[in-house]
Amino acid sequence: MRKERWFFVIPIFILISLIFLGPGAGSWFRGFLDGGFVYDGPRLSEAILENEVLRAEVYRLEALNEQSSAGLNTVTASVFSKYPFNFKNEILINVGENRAVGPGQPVVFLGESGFSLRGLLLGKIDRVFSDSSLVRTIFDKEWQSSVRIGKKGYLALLQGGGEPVIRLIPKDAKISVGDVVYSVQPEFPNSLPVGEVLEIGLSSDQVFQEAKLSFPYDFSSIKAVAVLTNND
Amino acid sequence: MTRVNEGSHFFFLSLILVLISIVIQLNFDDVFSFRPDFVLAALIASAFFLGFLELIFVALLSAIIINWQPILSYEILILALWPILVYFLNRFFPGKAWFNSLIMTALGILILYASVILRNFFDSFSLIALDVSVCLVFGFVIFNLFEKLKTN
Repeated sequence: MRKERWFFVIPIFILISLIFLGPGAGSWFRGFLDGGFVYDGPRLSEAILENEVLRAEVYRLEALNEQSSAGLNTVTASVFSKYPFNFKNEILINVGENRAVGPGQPVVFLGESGFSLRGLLLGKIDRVFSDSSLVRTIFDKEWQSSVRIGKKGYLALLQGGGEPVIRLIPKDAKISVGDVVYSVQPEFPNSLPVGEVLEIGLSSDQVFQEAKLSFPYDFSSIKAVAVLTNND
Repeated sequence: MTRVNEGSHFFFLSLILVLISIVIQLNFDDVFSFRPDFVLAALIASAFFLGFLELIFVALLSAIIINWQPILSYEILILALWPILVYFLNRFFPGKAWFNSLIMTALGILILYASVILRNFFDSFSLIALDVSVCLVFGFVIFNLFEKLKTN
């Protein structure tokens, strides 16, 4: 029995050392377990995504009649791992200080082939490490950002969560299902699309409208993203 | 004292169950849009059957695998330390071991939530209740698997 116990002592010391010196060491194994049984839900349609981005771009140009996305730097990154519990929605990506990534920079989903437009807002850089960064996504409960809806550009608030909701939409705003929602958060590039209006209703106090969003991607199967390192 | 067995022959069962729990926990939200704390439930059930060193090994291994960032966090520390604390405490618990394991599972999940979202703890009550309920069922199943192995 004692010999059996000694058998555990060395691996335990190794694990304790790893916990304190390299807590990310298990990521290669975790990545294997994490992707093992991914539910193959609605797959990204590149055409839908491109359409969404283009529509937001049209709104943007109509509204602002200026600016182009020239000069925007994107750093593409792979998704290492996702937050394993319920409380937050974060992903770890494989670029950090080594690629000049900084806190607060927007992270977008570019689609499977990474076409050149800006992509869809997915989150922002929360913490930066030497060769990786933690991204807080729009699916996190703590996420809040300013957005505009549709051609008229009604101002509202994007409230993150498992099912992100657009809140504080004026009651008289004429929005409809399929309208593109785009970010107008000051620190992000103008008119970065977020998703489309899926369902419209009234807030519990009946003062504002609220809308649920649909996204042309399956968040759980996202493997690559891009960080926009140079805003408008 | 409610310790069931300190033998190391439960070690491999525990290791397999914890690895299965990790896989289920990491992929559960692909289908059900939330992530129950199955790994914690499995570790706590294991704390009633494993020896001290075996439990430390399994708990640390789980923490290393499930950690999602290059630094340690409260969640990971609680995940690794709570089952070890349960191991020491359970000898003082009155009553049946299976019942104690469920109480400790529920308590562990509440502590885990409180450590991260203390501010929004009561706003997230329905999510926490759902998590605890699902994990109690899962923990009960795991505990019974250990019991089955013991009686066999």
